[in-house]
Parts: sequence; structure tokens; C-alpha cells
Amino acid sequence: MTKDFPLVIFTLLQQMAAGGFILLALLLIKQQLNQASSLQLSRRLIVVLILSGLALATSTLHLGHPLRGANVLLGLGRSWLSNEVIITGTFFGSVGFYWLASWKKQEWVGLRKLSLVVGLLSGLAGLAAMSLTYMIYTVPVWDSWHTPAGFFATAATAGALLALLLVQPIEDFYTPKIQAGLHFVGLLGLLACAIVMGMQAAHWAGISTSVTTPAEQFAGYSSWMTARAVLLLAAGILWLATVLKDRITPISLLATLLLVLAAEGAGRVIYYSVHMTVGL
Amino acid sequence: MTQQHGFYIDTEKCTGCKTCELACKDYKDLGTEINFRRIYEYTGGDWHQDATGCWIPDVFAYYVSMACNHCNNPACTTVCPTGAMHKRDDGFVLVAEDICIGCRHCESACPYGAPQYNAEKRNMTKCDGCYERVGEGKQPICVESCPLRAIDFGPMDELTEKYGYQRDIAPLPPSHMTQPNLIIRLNPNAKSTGSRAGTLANPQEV
Repeated sequence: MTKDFPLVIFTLLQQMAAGGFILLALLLIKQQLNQASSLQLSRRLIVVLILSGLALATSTLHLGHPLRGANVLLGLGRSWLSNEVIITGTFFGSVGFYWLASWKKQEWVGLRKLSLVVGLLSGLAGLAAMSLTYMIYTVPVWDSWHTPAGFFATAATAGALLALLLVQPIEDFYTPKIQAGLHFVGLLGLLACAIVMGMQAAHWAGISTSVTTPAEQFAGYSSWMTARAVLLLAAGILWLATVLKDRITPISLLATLLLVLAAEGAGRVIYYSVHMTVGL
Repeated sequence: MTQQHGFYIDTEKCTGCKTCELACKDYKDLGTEINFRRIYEYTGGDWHQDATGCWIPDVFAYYVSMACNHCNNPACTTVCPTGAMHKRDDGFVLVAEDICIGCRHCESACPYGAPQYNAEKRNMTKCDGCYERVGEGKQPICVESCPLRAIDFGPMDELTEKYGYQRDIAPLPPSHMTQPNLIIRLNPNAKSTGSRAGTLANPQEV
């Protein structure tokens, strides 16, 4: 597992960044990009850019030869790991261009809109490619629908909270309708996280080879599973309570986000730790 | 494409002496952490009551020597992002160590444990089938070293003619997945792929 720890960080941060950007891009795409509130939100996307940049930087830590990183271009089309890196790089580039242009080149409305669309699509495609990277036919613990379901659920949950935090100070965007929409997406994502967790555990319980089972691969399996369930539950209770009592504040959103990240981080530690192939 | 080569492993003859593993280690100058060839000890047993009421043990142990099977459908090359892990025209699966970025994705994918990360070189390494020796008309070093003559190597059609088609045995994966160039002679105690009748007795060693 230790060798995969950078990937726990990479997948979490990138899923949060992609989820947040996709939701905000959907809001921005309908707006006049040059009105003050749109520009304000666009400039706050620096947070998405930093998260995605950190994710990409962290991912290089699991390489023996990070300086040869460009060699992944050689597998474009053939290897899903290559596709994932290149699509995620495109996402980072598009978000970076969009953010920079919202400061320096506001008159490039068409190009900015295009970079918004490319960012949105590469964000989505990146999540899909990330899933396919792990859906290796010889790795039964990863090669199932639970992989993409879990990744997209994390992106929806953490992404919605990130989006809420970013739009929160901007009145034009922090409308009751948009708030309701983002809370709905996020809570639905959280429910999906919990359901996928349960169904994936059941899927893993049915896997064995002559030498091992997923639970035998990870000494901390049950305690980490319990920790994840408790954290998910805590996030759900805090989130629902603050929504129902109309007590949403930046602090409550941040606290919920941290709980979600802790829960999904634990989930990712489990995911990498139960790794086993169909054989030895 | 020239003739595809493969290994024959006789689990009836093999005594688990690990000479093949050490010969490979010596020839390839490998440290303690890397074993291109590994010997999996599969052991188990139970008590059974026979018709007369007598309890009889059926303890078993057998050894499966495993390196790279230079598969026809290698999982390692499929996932490799750089193409460093590649199957040559002559069928050997090799890693181009100067291209490999050391992401270890092949290690995650291979169900035989063949690609191994060399922490000093910071890239993947693996059994190359001693293709240079084979090119000179010699056998791989593991084959020559085996005191029991329990390993053979050669063109797959010749091996098949001599030894048959058996490829599946616990604790190896189902052979249909990566189509290994491997032929197994079954030990009388051999369990079928996926069997939970035994356990791996030397997990620290492999």
C-alpha cells in the first residue's frame, strides 16, 4: 500500500477538482462570462487549478523515474494509464487557460467558453479514464462497476462541497435554486458513496484465489471499513442537519468536506490495500 | 515472428530445492529483494474418516516454480503506459529499462508476479527468458541448473508434443486470462486452479 499512497492523494484531489469544476462550469456556461459575478467566480477557480496541480504533482511521487514522465505519451490510445494522464493534463491546461484569461483576456469570450467546455469534458473523461486504468482484467478486486461508481460518487460529493464553498460569497450565484441543486448533487453523491461501499464489500467477499482473499490482503480491513462507514455517516448527519436547520456556513461546508475527504481517503487506502490478481 | 518459446514445469519431480531461483539470481546478479524465478510451496491437508471409522490424514505439499511465462496475451504490456514492457516478435516479453518510468502498473496487473520493481534502478525488471543464451542455442540458466530436470524450455509446439497441454494448477491463475506459454506436469496431489484446499506456505519468500 505505501507505494500507492501518492495515488490515494492524487485520485482524491483530482476527483474533487474535476467534480467541482464540472458543476461550476455548468453554472458558468449559461452566464455572460464578462459580468462581474461571472468573472469573480472564474477567478476563484484558482482553487480548482491548485487542487488539480497538487494532484498531478503528487502522482509523480509514485514513479521511479519522474523525469521520464513524458514517456507516458508513448502509450496514448493503447494504455488507459497514458490516456488518464493526458486527459487529466488537458483538464489542468483548460482550467489554467480559463482562469488566466478571466484575468488577462476577458475579450476572448469565445475562447474562454471553449476552454470551459474542454475543461468540463476532459474533467468527465478524466474520471472515466481513471476508472479504466484500474479495471484490469487480471485484477478482480478492481475490475468491476464499483470502481467508476466509487470514483464518480467521490467527485460528486467532494465536488459539490467545493463548488458550494467557491460560490458561497458571490450573491448572483449563491441563489436558493443553485444552493439546492448543489446540495442535492452532493447528498446524492454521499448516498452513492455509502451504497457503493456496501456493494463493493459484498463483491470482494465473493473473491478468492488459492492463496488469498481481498480481506486477507489488508490486516486493517475491518477497522478501516468501520472507520470509513463512521466518517461517511458523520458527514451525512452534519450535512443534512445544517441543510435542514438552515445553518449552512463556510465553516460547516468545510467541516463536511473534510469529513468526506477523510471517509473517501480511508476508502481509497482500502481500495489499494486489497489489491490482488487472479493468480499469485 | 519466429517460434514462440515457453517453459515446462514438472511439479511431480520438483522438490522445491530452489536451485533454479538461485542460479537465476547469480546469473542475473540480483539482490535479495528480487527473484525472477520463485518457488511457490502449496501445502494443506485434512483428516478423513474411512469406512472402518479410522481417521486418515491426507497431508500434501508440492512446489510450483514460476518466472515469466511470456504470455500470448500479457497483462503487463496491456497496461504499460510507455510501451517499455513489450512482447518481441520472437515472443519474449521484455522491459526496456531505459524507457520504463517505474510506475509499477505492470506489477499490479501480472497474475504471475513476473515484473518486479528494482528500487536501486527505480524501474521494472523481469525474467527475459535468457533470450541471449537461447539465441546461442543454450537453455535458460534455470533450466540448466535444475538437478531434478524438472524444468524444460523450448519452442511451444515441441513442448506441447512432448508434454501435453496442461497449464492450470493451484495456486496459478486460470490460464485463459493471459495465455501463458507454460506447460505443467501435475503432481499427484495437485489441486485445481482457485482451490482453497491448501495455503501458500512461503509467502515471505515469494
